[in-house]
Amino acid sequence: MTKKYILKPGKHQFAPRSPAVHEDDSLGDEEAEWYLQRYPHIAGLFLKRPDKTIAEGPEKQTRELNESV
Amino acid sequence: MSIYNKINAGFSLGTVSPVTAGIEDVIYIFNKDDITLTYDTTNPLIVTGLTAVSAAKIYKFEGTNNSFNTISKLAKTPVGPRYTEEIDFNIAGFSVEVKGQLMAMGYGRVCAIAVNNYNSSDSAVELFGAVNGLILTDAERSAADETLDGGYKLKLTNPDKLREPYPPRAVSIAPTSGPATYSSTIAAIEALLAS
Repeated sequence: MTKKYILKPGKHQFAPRSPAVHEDDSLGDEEAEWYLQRYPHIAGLFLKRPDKTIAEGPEKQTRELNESV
Repeated sequence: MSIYNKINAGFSLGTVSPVTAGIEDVIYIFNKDDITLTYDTTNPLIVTGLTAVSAAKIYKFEGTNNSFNTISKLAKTPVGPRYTEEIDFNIAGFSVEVKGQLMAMGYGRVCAIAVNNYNSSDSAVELFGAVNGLILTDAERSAADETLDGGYKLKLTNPDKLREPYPPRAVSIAPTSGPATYSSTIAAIEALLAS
């Protein structure tokens, strides 16, 4: 099954002062949705989200859209 | 644990790009609760991303004449090495705006980013206070002091009884595509600056 939410590489802090433990391997879709609802500022940490394909710049967005065609 | 108590590399004298002292005359400071950090997956000494909580910003304090300094010092403890950190900087002014910022830095915790003059290293840009933050412990203004011409002399250090478990982190932020460089890191920090 393909994941709907993909985190950018690295270990992320989702809230200030929290340990940086969040990485893509350990973050399920349901969990990602929960965190996104409560901490909207983390939206930019995702490479892929169902509501927005790519959270990065327009160049990469175009490239990935072309690949999927 | 074992990875922390065995060295695995040696270093030669860097004659191609010899190390040089000092930091640039700029300190980036942000409230600890305003920015979340992303670390490299395998190396906790590298910060690979800064994310602002809502519309939070980073603030830039500029100086001149190589008058800013950073100090990181190992403190031996029964539970392993810890690090004390100090940032020395100054502000050329004493307006109420300046005083307000100084009061805030005395009450709340901040983190500071310094840019080393020696930028051939992968630690050219360093983050201080990543775990426990820093507070303003010295803010001195001697009106007749010729050295600072009546400006504020400031020092940020670890809060009482708290030290950092790691040396200062290297900040290394990649652009949208391609590897992280000195320029891409500075650009990422500047993008979060308050206008």
